[in-house]
Amino acid sequence: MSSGNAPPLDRLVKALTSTISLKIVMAVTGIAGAGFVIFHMLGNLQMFLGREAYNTYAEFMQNLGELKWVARLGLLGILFGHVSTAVLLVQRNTAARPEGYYTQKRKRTSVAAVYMAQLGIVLLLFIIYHILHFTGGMIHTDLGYELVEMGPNGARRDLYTHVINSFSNPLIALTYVAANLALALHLAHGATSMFKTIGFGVGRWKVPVEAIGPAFGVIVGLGNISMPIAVLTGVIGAN
Amino acid sequence: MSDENMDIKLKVWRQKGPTQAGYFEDHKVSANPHMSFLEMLDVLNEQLLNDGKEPVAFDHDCREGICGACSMVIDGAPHGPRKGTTTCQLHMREYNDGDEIVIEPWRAKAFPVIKDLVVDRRAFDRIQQAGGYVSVSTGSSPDANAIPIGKRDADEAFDYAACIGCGACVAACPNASAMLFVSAKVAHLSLLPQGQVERVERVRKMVDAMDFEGFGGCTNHGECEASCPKTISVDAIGLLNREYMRAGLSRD
Ligand code: HEM
Ligand code: FES
Repeated sequence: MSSGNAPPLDRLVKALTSTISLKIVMAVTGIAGAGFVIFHMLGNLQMFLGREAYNTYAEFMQNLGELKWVARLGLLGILFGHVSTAVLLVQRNTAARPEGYYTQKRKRTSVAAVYMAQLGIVLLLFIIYHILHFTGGMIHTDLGYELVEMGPNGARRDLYTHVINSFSNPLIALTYVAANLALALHLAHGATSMFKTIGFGVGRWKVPVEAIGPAFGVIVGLGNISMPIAVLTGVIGAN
Repeated sequence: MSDENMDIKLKVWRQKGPTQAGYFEDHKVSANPHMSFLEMLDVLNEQLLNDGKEPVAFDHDCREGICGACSMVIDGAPHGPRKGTTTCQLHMREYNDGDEIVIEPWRAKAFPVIKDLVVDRRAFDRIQQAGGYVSVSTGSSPDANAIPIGKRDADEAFDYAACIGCGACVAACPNASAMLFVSAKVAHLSLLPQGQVERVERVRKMVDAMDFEGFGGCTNHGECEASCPKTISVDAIGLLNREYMRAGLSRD
């Protein structure tokens, strides 16, 4: 068990694998993920500004060179840290109650909080699908991944048309809507939970921290879902 | 409130010992609205004894809400439906004639069932022994003004000190986490000047002990606070996390 006499390194390893430490890793990677999600959403909302603006933004992102790979590997590492701590903690939490209740009242918690792990699995599957679709162009290839247009600096990918073609397919659009509902729920609990986990949500910070999760969920949900819906209803891309 | 007896149906968990499989048993009792919940169980046990059957084992001691012994989950809620109340403070006037009440033990790996509704809560004692103390001289009480303590710290420490170690937080938590208990102890002592000497070691040792006993972790459901008979705030868990990080940054 605990002992102040164990070698320093052993004590450090023990400290870093405690339930609270793992949860802090989950929270910090969650914060990073939430930051990425906002950034990603704001970038993509530029499709409401039209083909030119959107494709210029896409070209800018594509031309980041080394930085693009730093960001990609960083995000992959963050996802790995988040998912692996999630798996470890869910295992511990499940093992902590081997025999369940006949009935258990829920007085305080939310649907989002109860289904965090299931929502996370949906997100993981969606992230894989999403990368194969828009980033890698390995699926739905007939929808225009290879399309090219002439920009001010020469030929560039016509991501705008790829998005419009994709979301014009109701099945694809609805998949994105569903996945972003899951994301909104995951963040509605997560964006509050992460601040509590790092000890921030007490005293005068309690009320703002409790508000930020639901607010974050609504903003990310509405923002991301607006895009497939706008295409499906012809608000963008109809021209 | 009527004084007339009510017919209450009970569905009670029976388990002969830690290794035997448990099951629910149905019973009927006639309970007066003035009875406490435990008195109603006393009536049931008298009935069972008269019928030559084994009485239902349940834990109790003070019967006035201060010892934390009367652990049982009543209709899915630790200590029953009332906010800030222990089972022994619950009265049958909460119920109506014909109601069915389901009674189960705390369910957590770290709280194994000893018999029927009685669980072994010594895991809490071991966590407490790991670091939930101050080792300063406690001799005669010092003058009240000898150790200045800010009003807010004193109030908060007092609120956290109200924990009676009953285990309702574990019972209510979807993850069977003991973090409200551990955090109440850590927050109580680390807010006070007397608790500074062991401040860093305390939080480490208590969290180690908590993990060692096999409790789950906090995912911020808030069920513990909602079920705590002493209405201890989940803010304690925020303070615990802070203390833990503070200890993590200390050089040794
Ligand atoms: C878009 C990607 C994701 C983002 C932005 C995200 C964000 C977050 C945040 C902010 C938290 C709160 C951390 C805390 O409570 O301290 C969290 C918790 C959690 N996440 Fe994720 N997450 C993502 C993907 C995933 C994936 C792929 C999984 C698992 C397969 C997952 C599983 C979990 C679990 C189990 C929790 C803990 C639930 C709880 O503490 O109540 N997440 N996530
Ligand atoms: S019997 Fe002591 S608190 Fe209920």
